Amino acid sequence: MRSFRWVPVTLFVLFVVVRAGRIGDLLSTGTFVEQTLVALTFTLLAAIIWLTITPWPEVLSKFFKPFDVRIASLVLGAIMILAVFAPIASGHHPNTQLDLVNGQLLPPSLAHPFGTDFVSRDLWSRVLFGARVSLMIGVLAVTMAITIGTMVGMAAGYFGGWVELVLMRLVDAGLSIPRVFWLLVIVSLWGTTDIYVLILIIGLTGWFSTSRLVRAEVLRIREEDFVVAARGLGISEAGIVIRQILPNVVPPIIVNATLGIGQVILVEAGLSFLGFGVQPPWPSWGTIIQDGSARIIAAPWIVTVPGVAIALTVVSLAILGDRLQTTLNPRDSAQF
Amino acid sequence: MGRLIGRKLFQALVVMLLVTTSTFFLIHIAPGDPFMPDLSVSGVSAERTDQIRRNFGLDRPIYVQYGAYLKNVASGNLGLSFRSYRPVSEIIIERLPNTIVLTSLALIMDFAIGILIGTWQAWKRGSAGDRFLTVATLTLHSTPVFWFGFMLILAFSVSLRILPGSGVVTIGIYDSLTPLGQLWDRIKHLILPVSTLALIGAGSTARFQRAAMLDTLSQDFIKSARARGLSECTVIFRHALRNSLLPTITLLGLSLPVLLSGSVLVETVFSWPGIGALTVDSVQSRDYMVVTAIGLVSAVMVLAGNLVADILYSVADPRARRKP
Amino acid sequence: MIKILQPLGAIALTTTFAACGSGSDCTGDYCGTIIIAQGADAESLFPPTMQAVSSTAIGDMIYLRLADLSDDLNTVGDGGLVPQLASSWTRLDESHLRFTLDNRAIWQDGQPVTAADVAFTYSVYTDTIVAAPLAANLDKISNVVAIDERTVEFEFTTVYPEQLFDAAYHMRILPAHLMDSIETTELLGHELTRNPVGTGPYRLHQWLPGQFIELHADTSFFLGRPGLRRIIWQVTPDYESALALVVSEQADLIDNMRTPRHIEQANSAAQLRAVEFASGGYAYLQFGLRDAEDPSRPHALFQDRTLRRALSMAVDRETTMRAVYGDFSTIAVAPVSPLLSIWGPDLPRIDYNRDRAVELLEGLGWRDSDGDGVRDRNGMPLSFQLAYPASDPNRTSAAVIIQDQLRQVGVDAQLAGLELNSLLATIPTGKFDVYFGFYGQDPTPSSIRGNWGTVGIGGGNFGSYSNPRVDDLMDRAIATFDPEESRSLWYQALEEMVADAPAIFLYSPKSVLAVHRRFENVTVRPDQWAATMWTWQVPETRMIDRDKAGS
Repeated sequence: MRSFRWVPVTLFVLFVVVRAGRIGDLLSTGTFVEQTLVALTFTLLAAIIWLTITPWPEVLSKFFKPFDVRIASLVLGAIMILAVFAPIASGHHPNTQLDLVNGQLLPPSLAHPFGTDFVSRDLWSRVLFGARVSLMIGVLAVTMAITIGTMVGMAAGYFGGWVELVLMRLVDAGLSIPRVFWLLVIVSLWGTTDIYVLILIIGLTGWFSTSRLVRAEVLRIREEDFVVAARGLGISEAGIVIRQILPNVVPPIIVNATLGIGQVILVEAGLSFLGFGVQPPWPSWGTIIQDGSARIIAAPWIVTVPGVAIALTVVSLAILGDRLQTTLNPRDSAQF
Repeated sequence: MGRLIGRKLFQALVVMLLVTTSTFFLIHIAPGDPFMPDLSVSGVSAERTDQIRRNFGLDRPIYVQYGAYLKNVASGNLGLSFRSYRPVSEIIIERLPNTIVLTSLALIMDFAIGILIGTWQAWKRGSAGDRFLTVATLTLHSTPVFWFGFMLILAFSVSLRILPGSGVVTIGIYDSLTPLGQLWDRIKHLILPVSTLALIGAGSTARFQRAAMLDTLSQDFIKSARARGLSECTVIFRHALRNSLLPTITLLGLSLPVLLSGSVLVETVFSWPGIGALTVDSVQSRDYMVVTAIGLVSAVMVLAGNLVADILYSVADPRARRKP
Repeated sequence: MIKILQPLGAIALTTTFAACGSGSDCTGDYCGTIIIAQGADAESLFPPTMQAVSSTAIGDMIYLRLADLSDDLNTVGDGGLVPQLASSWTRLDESHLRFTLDNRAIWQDGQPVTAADVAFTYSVYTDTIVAAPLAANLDKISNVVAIDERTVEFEFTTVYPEQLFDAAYHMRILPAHLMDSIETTELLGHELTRNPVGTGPYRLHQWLPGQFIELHADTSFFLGRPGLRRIIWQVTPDYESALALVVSEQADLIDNMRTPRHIEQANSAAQLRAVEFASGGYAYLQFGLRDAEDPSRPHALFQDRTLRRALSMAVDRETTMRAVYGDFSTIAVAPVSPLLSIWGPDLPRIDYNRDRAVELLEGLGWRDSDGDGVRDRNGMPLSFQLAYPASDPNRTSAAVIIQDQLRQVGVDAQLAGLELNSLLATIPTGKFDVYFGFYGQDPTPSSIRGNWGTVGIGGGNFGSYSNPRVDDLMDRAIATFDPEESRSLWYQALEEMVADAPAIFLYSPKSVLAVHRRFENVTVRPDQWAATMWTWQVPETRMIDRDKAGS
């Protein structure tokens, strides 16, 4: 399995070598902040996973043992690399209208691997840049949702009493309305063309289930022997929360986050399809589907490509999430 | 049992109040205005929009509006639609049956397929079929529901032309069909939207059921049943399936909001005149009262679903009744 | 026993009949059924508050006006309209018009149409609680009096040539005998707004909200038997699904086709044909003549008339238009849509001339002194913001193309795609450099004054363009009773205005609809394509299933 680790690295090096001349583009594009964010967040996530399993290298190889996990990591790795290095790999700017007169809705060809869209933009480039936007939204919104959800869940689980009562009824209210409804109301009425506000809104509507999960974990851990013992030793409550409880709720949170990114990508796509998600000219997978859905008969490939990209990404994330679940908390592995 | 229902009902009331309050303020404090002038026509008149605002009581302070709204809702009055001056309850009741038919059929199909596949997978775990279905269900679970709908329309309505891709009935000839023909016409229109929702949902139900079934199969009473020499079929269907359905029942309650979210998209794709399509419509035209009411109605539907799941669960599992 | 069985027998009988089809097949030339795939459901069928096209097209089938526009859409003078509910009208003096109602006209519940209905309708349209969108068009009418059963008199506050148009066209006559006992506040949401009783060629048969609205012909309609038996609007919010319905022959007509691709798709279906007609809208790039930050000061760039003219010459409208609309648009030469009676190819215009634009810019001292590709003068770059609604894909792509054309002459237009809230916060208050606008013009030239005259500042004249000579010419053009003189005054006003270049007038997209070939006598009136639909017909030999299906 050791060789597996080198696959994404090799791919990356190949890319850099092939397009070495354009490495400068990466730094000069205006969207550098976003690509750094994407790269950073993924590195962070990888680091967390790494740290959790590093002391036992055999665990790592065990983790990647199942065939589907290897495929999923490869797919996800490739998509991430393509996303981060989109300015180099794309060949065209995603918003450039190449030839308005003769270049509209061209079917896939060598020059345009995925064809062109209704204003002659190169779909390959748009899907690559769309990957950045979709993944960025996924990662940032989930990071936010997880942070809020963990804090709320810990507070509810640990303090109990009226704090728990109030917080959990809020969570009930949040969960009793379909998420798409919340998002439709907020995004359409409060109106935004700013992608970061969209991320904020998706994050703010996504923490309810995490807090429920965290609360249940805290309730369980609170009664465990080592916590009772720590309390007996006179360790402060804050100390118990930070030292004893938090580390123990991290594994389920990581699983939750991995699956959550996929869900956010789906939610973003749905919102964009209804016209309330990412606003043009930003390409996200959802907006590309929306553009294409207006030409589904004339140019079915426009809708197909980003849809497949979404499904691949979300499947890969789900496989990895499942695998993390079995590795990190084997106790619950039989459950969902 | 009675106490459980009573407590759940009280909780549901609190949640509904929270939902109503938050949607009301989210909508009414939002920037912009439901009666915004249209820049593309001449004759923008401020007096006119002021008058319309007065007609709907939007000129009053927000807390007065909120108080009046709560009082009205308590007496069953959901307000008037800004677009047509009609009672919102009438508009919702018109659309509700369509959504209920769509989602309940989808729910039934979702669970039927999901439980069937999940159980089979657990039974034959590790086989090629199980591995294939694992990937297949995961893929369904990860597919954007509206995109899946588009693909079905492309395949069955546009290319093959065997199933209609929009609407509830074949307009123009429905009235002249025989009752049987009318029923068949309705079923034909249901096939694609229901399948879209159900197949996407069945992906996760199957995964859930497979896990629950595996969990049950590893328990002692199954082992002893096997030891007693009962046939595999009896073990799986008589003993294991019953027990594995318990956790799946809880999924029923959780599925409803997901299903309703999905119906917003599916109804839009298939021009299905239900609550989901109405949501998109009303949000776009800023029909505040309709939007608030839809929030309330979907909360009621979800809470009712949860309550039913809770009751089913406590009926099926005696242990749950004793839990606090 | 027999008594008990009777209802059962009745049920059995009904079921049997239903089983053989609830009606026999329709035969003859008046059986046609048309299904129109439409994006939105009607909001309400109460004429005073109808606004969206989805409502007005349907409402106009059920309710009639006193008189309607004729095919040439002339709104000026007393001879331009064709009779509807009024069979004739006479002018008593310069501020009084008298209408005689058609004595064959009856309401769909059998009651005769009376002068009281007209007076009642006027009182509803002008009621402030109703807040009718068209009420502003009635403000020069001071009184409407029923003289006798069939005679009604309009009194005007001012003398102007469009009195007949205002009196007869804006109001759809309402049934006083059903409505006048209802409180105004009740009326707006009353059952009658859902189940209207009108005077028109069609009556409402069934309305399933979100699904369809079905109208059936009134075979005894007093202006002639309607050619189509049923008209059904099918609600299909997604445009592509709507098009798919028409292409696959499940629906018969789709309008609002704006891109060449859609038209190509429709043409690929053998049973469809495309019908194109002039639309009432025109697109323009409006210069903000006041400073975007502080409207009390003039705009630093656009107060300069020559600069505005230079920029007008730098935009290649022909190419932009072709890229966005293909063949389906015409160049807008002035703020006049091709619908208006005063429109003509000889209207004044500023032609595309890039060399001349560069010459003018150089002459004004705008030169690229720092080599960044953007002209500057005294350290100030020739740079401004171009605001457009991000929700409109056509304007979005046109803005990108125009930005590129301006860059080629060293002008930096920064695109600002605004969503609706910010658009409404900036444009009507004049806080913009350049606004990419689109007007849907009504059929009367008077609206030009509201959008480009001094009176429109603070209203429809977002850019605050003001030229007293243009104002004076427009006022005289609107006030004169002589159509020839009016036309010549409009031309003088427009000539002066276009020379001032308060905006770059871009183009008017044409409207295109696709309709099934089996329909005969398909005529389209450009301001409202459905206006003459009641005269369309399907010959018996070309009928398909839904034409024959009984109901």
